[in-house]
Amino acid sequence: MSLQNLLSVKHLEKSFGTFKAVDDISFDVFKGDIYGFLGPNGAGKSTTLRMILGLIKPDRGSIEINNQTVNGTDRNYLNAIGALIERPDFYKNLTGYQNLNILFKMSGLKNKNKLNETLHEVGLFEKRNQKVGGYSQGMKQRLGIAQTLLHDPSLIILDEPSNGLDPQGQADMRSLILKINKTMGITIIISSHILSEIEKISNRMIVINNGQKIIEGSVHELMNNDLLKVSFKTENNELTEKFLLHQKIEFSSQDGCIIVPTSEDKISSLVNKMTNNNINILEVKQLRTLEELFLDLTK
Amino acid sequence: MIRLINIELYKVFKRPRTYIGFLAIFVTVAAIQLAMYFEGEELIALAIQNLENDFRLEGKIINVNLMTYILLNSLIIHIPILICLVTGDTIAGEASSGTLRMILLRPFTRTQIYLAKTITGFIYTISLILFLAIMTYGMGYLLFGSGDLIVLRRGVTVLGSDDVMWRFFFAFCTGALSMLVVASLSMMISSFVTNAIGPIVGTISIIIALNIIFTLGAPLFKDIIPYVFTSHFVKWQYFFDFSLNMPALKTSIIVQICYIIIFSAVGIWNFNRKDILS
Repeated sequence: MSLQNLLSVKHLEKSFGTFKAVDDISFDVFKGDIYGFLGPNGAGKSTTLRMILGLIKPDRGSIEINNQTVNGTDRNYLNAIGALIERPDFYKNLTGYQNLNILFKMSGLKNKNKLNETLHEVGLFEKRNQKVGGYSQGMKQRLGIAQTLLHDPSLIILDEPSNGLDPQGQADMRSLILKINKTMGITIIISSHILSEIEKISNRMIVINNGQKIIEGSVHELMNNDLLKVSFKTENNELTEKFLLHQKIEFSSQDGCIIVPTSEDKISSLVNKMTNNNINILEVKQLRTLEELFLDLTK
Repeated sequence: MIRLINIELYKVFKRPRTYIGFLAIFVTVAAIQLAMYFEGEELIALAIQNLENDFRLEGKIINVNLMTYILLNSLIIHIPILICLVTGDTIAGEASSGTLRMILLRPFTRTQIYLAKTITGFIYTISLILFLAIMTYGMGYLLFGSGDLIVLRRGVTVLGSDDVMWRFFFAFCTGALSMLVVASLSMMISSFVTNAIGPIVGTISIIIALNIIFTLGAPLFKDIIPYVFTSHFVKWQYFFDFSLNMPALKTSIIVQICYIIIFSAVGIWNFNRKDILS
C-alpha cells in the first residue's frame, strides 16, 4: 500500500538578520500520520510550522499540501489545516462559544450544530458560556484544539500543545490527540521539546536542532536504532564475553555488567541465544533510551 | 469582506475600551454645556466686550449653535486620542495578545483583514463624531434653545439660525474626514509594532509635533504646511465664513483623502510583508 503524501516540505530556509533559524529542512507527512516534530527550545520548530501556515515567509524552499504548492496569495489551502501555534490565545472578554463563533464565521461555516458538537468533542460544552479570561490553561488548550477542528481539516498542526499543562492535563491532551487521529482520521503534526510526549503518540518523527534536520523516520525505526544500548547482568560474565566475541557482537564492560549496543527488535533473539548457550541472565536493562539518543543528537 | 467587517465590528463593540470614547465625549460635553448654562453669560461677556464698543448685540448669544461651534473647536483636538485607543489597538493589540495569529490562520488574505479592520476603525470614528454631534446639538438645544451664530474668525460673522444647520452638517463631515486620517495613521503605525501603546503614543506624538510646526508657522515650513494633514484639522471652520472658499475646501478634502490612501497603502504593504512572530 502506497502512502499518500499530505504535506511535503522541501529545502525550507529562514533567517532573521544574521541568525539562520531554519536551514534546509525537508520532510514529508503522510495521510493518517501523527508526525512528531522534535527539537530543543529554539531549534526552529515553531518557525518551520509558522512558515507552513503562512505566518512567516520563507527565504527559500517550497511547501506542498495535497500536491498543491502553497504561495503567498492563495490562502484557500488553510481550509484544509487547523492549527494551534504555541499558546492558545483567545479574546478574553468573550466566552468560549463567542470565540469559536468568530472563527466559525471566518471559516464561512453555516451549520451551527458543528459549534456545539466541537465543544462536546473537547469536553467544554458545559463551560461554553464562561468568559475565556476565567478558563484554566487546560481549558484554553482544549478550546484551542476545538478551533482547529471546527472546519473539518485534513491536517492539524499542534505546536507544543502540552505546554503549561500538569501531568493529568498532558495525558488528557494525548488521548484527545489520539482520538482525533483515530476516530476522525485527521493527520496531525505535533511539535514538542519533550521526547516522551512524541514517543507516546507519534508514528513518525523528525528531530531538528539549530534549524537543521538531524534525523527523520518512524518512531519504531528510531527506537530500533543501533545506537540503543542494553545492559546484561549474568552469573558468569567471562562466559558471556566469550559468547559475544564468538558471535562477533560488539560489547563493553561496566560495573559488572556487559553493555551491548543493539536495537530493540534484536534484544529477544540475543537473550534466547545467550540462554541456549547456558548463560544465566540475572537482569536485562535498556540503557540507552530514545531520550538519550535525542539528547546526543541535539548536543 | 462584509463577513470580516461584521466580525471586526462585533469584536470592537464587545470591548469595554470602545466605550471610553463615548463616555469621555458625554462627560466633557455635559460638563461644558452645564458650565455654560450656569456661568456662560459672564464668560461670553468677557469674550465679546471689545465688540460691544462698536456693535449693539441683541438676542440670545449663547445658544445651541454657539455651543456646538465652541465644542467642535475644543474637542476636535482631543478626539484623536479617543480614536487611537481603538484603531491603534486593532492590529498591534491583537498581535500582542496572540489573537492576530489565530485569525491569520483562516483563509483570508492579509489585505482583506487589514481593510476590514480599517473600515471598522472608520465606522467607529464616524460613530464617535456622530455621537459628538448628537450630544452637542441635542443637549445644547435642550439647555439653550436656538439662535443666530456669532463667529469670531477673520472678523465677525453673524449667521442666521436658519443658515447654520447645513454648515454644521458639512463641518462635522469635514471634521470626520480629518479624524479618518488620524484613524488610518494609527492603523498604519499599528501594523509596524506589536504593542498596543505604540500606535496611540506614536499617532498623538506626530499630531502634536505637526500641530506645533503648523501653529508656529515658521517660514521654513511655509510651503509644506498646506500639505501637512494636521493643518486641515481646522478647515471645517471655513464652512462658517459668510461666503465659502470652495477651492480651499476642495484642496483640503483632496489632501486628506490622499493621506488616507497613502497611510492605508503603507499599512497594507507592511502588514503583508511582516512575519508574525508573536
